[in-house]
Amino acid sequence: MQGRRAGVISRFLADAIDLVVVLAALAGIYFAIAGVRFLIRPRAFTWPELSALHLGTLGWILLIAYLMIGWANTGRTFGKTVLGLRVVDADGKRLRLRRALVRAVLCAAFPIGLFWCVVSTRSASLQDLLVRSTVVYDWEPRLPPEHDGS
Amino acid sequence: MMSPHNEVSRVEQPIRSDEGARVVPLRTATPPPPPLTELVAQSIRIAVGIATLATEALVEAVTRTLGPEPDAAAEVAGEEGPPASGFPLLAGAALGVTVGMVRWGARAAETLGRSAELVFGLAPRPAFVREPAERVAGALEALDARWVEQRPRDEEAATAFLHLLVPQIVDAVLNQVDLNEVVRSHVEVDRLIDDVDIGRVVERLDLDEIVARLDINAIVQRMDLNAVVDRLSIDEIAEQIDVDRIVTKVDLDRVMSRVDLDAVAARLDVEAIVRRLDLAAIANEVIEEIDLTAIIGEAMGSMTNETVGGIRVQSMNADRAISRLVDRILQRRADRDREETSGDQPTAPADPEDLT
Repeated sequence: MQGRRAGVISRFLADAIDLVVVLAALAGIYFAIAGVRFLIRPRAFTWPELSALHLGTLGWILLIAYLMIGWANTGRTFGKTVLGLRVVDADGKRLRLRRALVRAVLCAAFPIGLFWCVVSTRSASLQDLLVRSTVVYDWEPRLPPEHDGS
Repeated sequence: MMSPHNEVSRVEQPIRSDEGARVVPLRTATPPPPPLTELVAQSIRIAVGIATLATEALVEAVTRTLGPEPDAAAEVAGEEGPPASGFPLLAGAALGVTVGMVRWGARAAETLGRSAELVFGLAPRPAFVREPAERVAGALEALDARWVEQRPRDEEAATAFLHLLVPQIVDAVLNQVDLNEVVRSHVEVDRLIDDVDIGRVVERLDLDEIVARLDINAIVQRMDLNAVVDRLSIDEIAEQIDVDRIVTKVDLDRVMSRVDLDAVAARLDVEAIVRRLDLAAIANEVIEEIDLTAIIGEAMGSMTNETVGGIRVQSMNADRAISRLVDRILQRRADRDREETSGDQPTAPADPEDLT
């Protein structure tokens, strides 16, 4: 099964894990801010009030950064590492940074596009179709080859 | 203190008796007797010598009892001095006078003897002289015969007397003499030992009997075994011991069957041993030796790998099930897996630059 295109369940579980990771990071950031506030003014401490817009924006940015860094470095985020998946381009090589950024923005903006892989004959989500990437089973820890000159 | 006259009389007394005692047997003896004068002179010399030695010994003994007087003997005789220091001088002076008088007496007796011999030899013997002489000779012969007859008894009595007397004298002498000191000062022990043939002595010894008489236990108890052991070179001894041969001769099973291991274990103070152990240091050392982090990491890794592997396999199976279901619903003929294996890969990727 190594190298075959991954199905929707694996990818969905991986994305769910990634989402949990990002939400945990967001919570960590929130508590870190609260801790700093407490250290600065312990008596007048109140929990920081962040609007949903702020939180959403922060979470969205965090998610994009997380996905981009993961895909551009090893081709996998933590969720995809757990599920043994790897994002590669059509040549089976690692995504370049810009393509990883585009894919991360697309995934964060339109996550429902993942489910296109259910009906896609090549198990490609909408983001895969747009950036010409693919997600494969790859349990091996070795890194995929890089592009020359990248 | 002896006077010179007494000394002379004591000295001359044995001379006369000697003369008489010797004259009688000599007249009966077959060989011609030596001249009378020589006999007298020799007897006097001997008597004087003996008396001189005796006097010197007496003076020496008396001097020692009075204390040492080293310089007194060198002084001239006749000088007066303190009574204690003057005794040797007086004794020496008396001795000198005695010796002088005795020599003079000896010379006088010799002269007298020669004159008498000459007179009696030359003069014709008249009857008034011959008769008394013959009577005297007869009486002397009777005395001699009686002496010869009584001689064994007298000698026996004398011998018995000497047997009784001599041991007492010897004891008395030995009591006064430190024999050890005498041997030490007069006997050359080293020369004597050099002359001794030790080999012959050893040959004559019955060593077995000597050993049988020895009380080895008593000797061992008196020995300082620690000192003996200190002098032993254990290494040299150990090099000469063939331990393998000894061990092969030992029946270890029999030895072990005799050992009461329970008793040995009961005598062990395990708590004391444990108290002496630095358990904390040992534990730290053991932990340092064991790479605990690596072990935990390996165990956790294997657990994680199993868990993750299970999730991956199950999600993969789910992927395939959904794909087949969807394909069946959409009535696709081609299997996705078969498409992939047949090389139905995505077409050549678009130029990444297009997306920028």
